[in-house]
Amino acid sequence: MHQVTLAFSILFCLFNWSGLGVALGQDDKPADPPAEVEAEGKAIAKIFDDPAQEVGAAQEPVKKAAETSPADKAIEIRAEEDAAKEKTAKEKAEEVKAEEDRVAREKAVVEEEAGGEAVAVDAVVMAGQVVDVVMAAEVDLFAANENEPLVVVLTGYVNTECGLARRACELTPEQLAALKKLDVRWVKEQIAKPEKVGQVRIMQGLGRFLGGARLENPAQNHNQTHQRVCKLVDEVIQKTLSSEQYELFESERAARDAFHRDATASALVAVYDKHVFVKREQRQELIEDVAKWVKSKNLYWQFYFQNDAYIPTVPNAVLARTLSDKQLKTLQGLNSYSYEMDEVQMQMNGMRQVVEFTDE
Amino acid sequence: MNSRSSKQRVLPALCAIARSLLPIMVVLASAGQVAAQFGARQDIIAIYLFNGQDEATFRRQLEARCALRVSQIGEVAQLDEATLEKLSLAIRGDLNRFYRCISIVRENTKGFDIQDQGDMQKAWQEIMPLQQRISKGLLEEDSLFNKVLDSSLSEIQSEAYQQYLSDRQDAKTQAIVKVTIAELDRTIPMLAKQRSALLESLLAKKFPSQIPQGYDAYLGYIMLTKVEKAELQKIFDKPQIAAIEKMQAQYAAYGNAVTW
Repeated sequence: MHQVTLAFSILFCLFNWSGLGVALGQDDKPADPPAEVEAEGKAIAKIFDDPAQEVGAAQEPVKKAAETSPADKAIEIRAEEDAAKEKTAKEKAEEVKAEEDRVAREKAVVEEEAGGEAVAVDAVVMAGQVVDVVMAAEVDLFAANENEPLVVVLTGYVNTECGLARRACELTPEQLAALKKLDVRWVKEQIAKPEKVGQVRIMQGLGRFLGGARLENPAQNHNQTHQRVCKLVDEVIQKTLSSEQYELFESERAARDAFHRDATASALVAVYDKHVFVKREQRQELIEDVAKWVKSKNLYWQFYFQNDAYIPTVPNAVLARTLSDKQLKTLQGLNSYSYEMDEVQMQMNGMRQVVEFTDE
Repeated sequence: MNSRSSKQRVLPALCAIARSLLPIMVVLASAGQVAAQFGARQDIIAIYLFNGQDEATFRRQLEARCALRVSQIGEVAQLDEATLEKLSLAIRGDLNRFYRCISIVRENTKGFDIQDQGDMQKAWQEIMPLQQRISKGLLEEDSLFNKVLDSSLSEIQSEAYQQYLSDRQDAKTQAIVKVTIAELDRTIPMLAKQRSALLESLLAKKFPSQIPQGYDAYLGYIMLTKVEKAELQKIFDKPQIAAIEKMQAQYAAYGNAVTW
């Protein structure tokens, strides 16, 4: 990679050097100021000489400019103008920020007043307007992806885990404050800061031909980022809680996981039941076996109830412990498919209805 | 405000349709790709109705499933050989009727090109009723099998069979309610005792007597809309109730689609 960069740098220098050579070749004397700079300097001097043209705030810099050479005067004037422009940009940025706050306040009021899906859509539209303004002023790039699916999914994870910690344990104000720091902005910052994962990707094609071979820590995909940020959230919660509190929190998490596994397995067995007519005595045993196997914590289970020709991807060995050969035979030829709810959220690009939970 | 409330009614339905269509679109797109690899004249019915298999395999599976059903009923209701034979014949009649419908559709879609969008849309219009019949169950309601079954079972046998069907339905309902709570728990954090209390409250309610096809998956949320605020206040705290109420608002319209 460095070699590629070096090659481009050399080419770039050669290109610029040739231009420089042409300029040097013209004359060894210092170059005269360009005609427009000279004209500007004269104009400034004229203003200084003519009291009728002295105007308020412009007077002082103009006076200074008149004491030096026309070119210097012009440079100083430019610097003043730049400062003024910068000031205007700051003012603009402040205006944008104020506008952003106003829209956020309006959004909160509207959400509070009506609630529900329609409001969420209105809020998205509003947020879109804010994003346009912010992007134009290049003030806060993080605000650009407020409704990005990954941000929504991860913010949901933060709110749920912190919410569970708050309910499972009695937290001190300091602990509450520490958890409060894990807000949308924090989530966006973590997404933007990929951790070193020790991966190496070998460069292919033209890049390799030009000398690039290794690309260390390549950009993470959504799934990796999701896992990384979830892990960070867990670490922050663990650091914030005392060991007794964390034990309580973990026991609640374990109970939740057990419930989720049992619920998912029950739903999957109900799907199989439609195809294989599960007997009374088979059902509970099958639920227990499938629950041990279920790895997904967020399976798109509705899919199987909406698409009859599809069954979950439970290995035959798991099913064979309970189902008869006849029952297994009827499953042959049906398509098996597993789909994660988070994938749906990502692919639908935020179209999926998500109720946001917050303790604030 | 009116337009907003109408949006609130329409948007959940649209999102539900989009959610249910997404996997179908994925399947159709992949089916189209597979089909394209095998040439333009591939069997459209195989793509849309047989999950990409040939008709012989599809028939074998369907017949195996029907045979399994008869054997399960035989066990549950303790049927004799003669009754089992009658039921098998009835199934053969239902299957033949279905196969005839496939032949008609095959005739109507003859010469359709799978790479022509228009042809594929016309074909889907023809095949959709057959697809719906399979989803609904070939041996349900107006089937010959059901009629023969009704007339063949004694009162005790019928009771045993109805009990089996009712157990199945209960197991399915409970599973959907449980998995809905698990899904809710991913958005709204709940303690174990709160989860149990909500499950108990939902299962104690009267369930719909009829649920239209495709609405099964929303049963848990439909039941959630039936939980009163006072009941919620006994189980949850304010932020949790606020989020649950938003969820209830989202699914309020779904309750109108089922028969109570």
